Amino acid sequence: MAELSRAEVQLKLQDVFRAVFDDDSLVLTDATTATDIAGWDSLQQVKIILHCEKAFGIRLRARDINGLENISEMTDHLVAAVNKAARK
Amino acid sequence: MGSNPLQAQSLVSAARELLIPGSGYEQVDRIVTGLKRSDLSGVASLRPLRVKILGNITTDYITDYIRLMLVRAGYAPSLEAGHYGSLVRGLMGEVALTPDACDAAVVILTHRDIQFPPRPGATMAEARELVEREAGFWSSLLEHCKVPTAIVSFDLPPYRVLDEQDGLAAGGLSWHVKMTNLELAARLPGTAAFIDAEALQYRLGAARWHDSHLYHLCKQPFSMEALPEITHTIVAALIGLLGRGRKVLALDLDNTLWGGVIGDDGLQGIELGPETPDGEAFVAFQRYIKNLSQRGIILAVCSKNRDEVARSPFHKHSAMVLKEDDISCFVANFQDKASNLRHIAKTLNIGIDSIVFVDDNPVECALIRSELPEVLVVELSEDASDHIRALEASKAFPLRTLTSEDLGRVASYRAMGAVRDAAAAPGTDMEQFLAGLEPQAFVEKVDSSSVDRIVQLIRKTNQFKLNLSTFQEADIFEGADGVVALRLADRLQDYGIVAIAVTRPADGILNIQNWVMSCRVFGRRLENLMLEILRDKARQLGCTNIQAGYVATEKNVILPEVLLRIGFTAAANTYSTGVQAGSVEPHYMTIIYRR
Repeated sequence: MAELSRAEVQLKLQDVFRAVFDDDSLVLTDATTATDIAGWDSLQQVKIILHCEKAFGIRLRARDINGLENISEMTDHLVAAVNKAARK
Repeated sequence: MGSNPLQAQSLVSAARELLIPGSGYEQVDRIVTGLKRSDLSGVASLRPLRVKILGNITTDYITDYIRLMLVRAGYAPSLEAGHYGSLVRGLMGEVALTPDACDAAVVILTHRDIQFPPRPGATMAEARELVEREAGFWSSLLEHCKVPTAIVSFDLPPYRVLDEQDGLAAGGLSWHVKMTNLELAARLPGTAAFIDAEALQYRLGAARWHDSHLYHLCKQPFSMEALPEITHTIVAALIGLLGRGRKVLALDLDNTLWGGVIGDDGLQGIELGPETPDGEAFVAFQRYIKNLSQRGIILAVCSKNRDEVARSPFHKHSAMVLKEDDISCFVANFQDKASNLRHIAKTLNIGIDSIVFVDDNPVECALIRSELPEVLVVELSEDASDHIRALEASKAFPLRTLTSEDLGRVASYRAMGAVRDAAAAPGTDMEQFLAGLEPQAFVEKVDSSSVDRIVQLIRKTNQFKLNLSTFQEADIFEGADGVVALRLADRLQDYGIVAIAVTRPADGILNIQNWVMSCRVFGRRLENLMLEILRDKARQLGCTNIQAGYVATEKNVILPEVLLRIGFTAAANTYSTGVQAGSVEPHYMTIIYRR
């Protein structure tokens, strides 16, 4: 997969959230946290990880993701992972 | 969100329209998410069902998918899943698996739950001893399952310490798992059905069954993509246990049982037989269907053809495996197939929801799906070699144990046809006909050989059924004195146990708690005999009256008429009758008491 900009990654992440929560009106910003989205619990978290792995073509580790505080940190983590994979 | 009844209704429709297997995972998962958030209690067509789910895995996702499959099967489930790690404690009694607590249960075992694994190098004697302990441990736990319970057997582990010998030689964990499953299967309580995890693993493939990445993430061993197939299998088994499996396979002919169109291509032109690959595939499909019929599935034909043209291959084609005799109801005409399926249901005296319809024509399939949503439609592809798999993937015919009633069912539907035809034919002397069948009624003893069938018949019967109450094996044994189980046999065949009354005396009244009779013996006046026996019983107990509480359902509407005919009188929904012999039509049966 080619390298992606931060904005592209966050847009794709938004698609992931829309699919997982079955809500096409959902909007992500850097400040969005788990408390902002109804139903974002540890079970949905696993689905988010799985969907991200598929959408970005990468493997994620639970302990890396679970420590992230908000969408901003999650986006940064994905940008790094995606671009590391793209450079391989 | 989703608590809106209209939204819930449309989600239920969307859930029903999914093809399992067939629809993509993402599409299925969206509906699963929607159903989870919805309140289904307001959806009129769904009946409530309380199910408990136990397993030493994260059961949350599997629970969400079980909900979907139960909704598709017509239930509004309330589900309660045990926590990760609580399986053994749950089965030891921490979770009540009794009829007052739930209606059904699901237990998921995995190789991680094995208690007595062999060490590599164990001798055969040691390994057998461990299997014995393992099976003993689990079978005593599973005795606590007092409601219909679907149990996923132990799966094969993803690793094999003994390499290729792991499943073949004593000392291998795979061998231990396989042997334990076989041993346990033979010891399950009557309320439970085993799901063969090895067969599931085989269908899904190792990578989807053992998803180690996901197990690491959340302690669910199966990949998410495997959930539809796994839960479809579990719910099919539950439906079988609840007595709601399908009974009749209604078959199209052209391009379903043979290749080509008999009306156009003629007897020599249709493809059937070992001469061509397709012809061979159709023979294999017919052989499979023949085996299903030997197992007790009733066959019907539903074809758009002239009748004699449709029947000609059955008479004249040497490669036909299915014979006319195998078909309990043969309908070939140019009416729409929905009307014809209704006719088949009426002729065979079964509910329309007992039918599986098999056709290669997408238009016919779509028509049945929209006209008769209760019918399970199996749409065949153009590739005849895929027919068996497609039919089997529908999981329409769940089976717990093969009973002698299953094996005799097809013959009895044929006999029922003979009785019906005789009754319908003008000028038949019905009395002479019934007497000529030389019927014998056996009043059966309640024991371990009959109790399965008694519980099963009460659960499965829809039409001749006083009310919806069901009984566990233990209830039947406990109240054995009040249970009358009748087996019918005549010169045509032995029908097995086909009528049951569960009674209890109180204050000089013999109360009929439930009374069921198989639709296969309607018209044989077995109800007259049952009443005769109940009157004897009532007199012996010093009762002066017999009472039956009728609760109307969608399907038991025939009952009031029958009860009034044989001598009951009605006050609201309570039907009562005296204990002295009344004048009803003779039943011509020889009565044999089995003590």
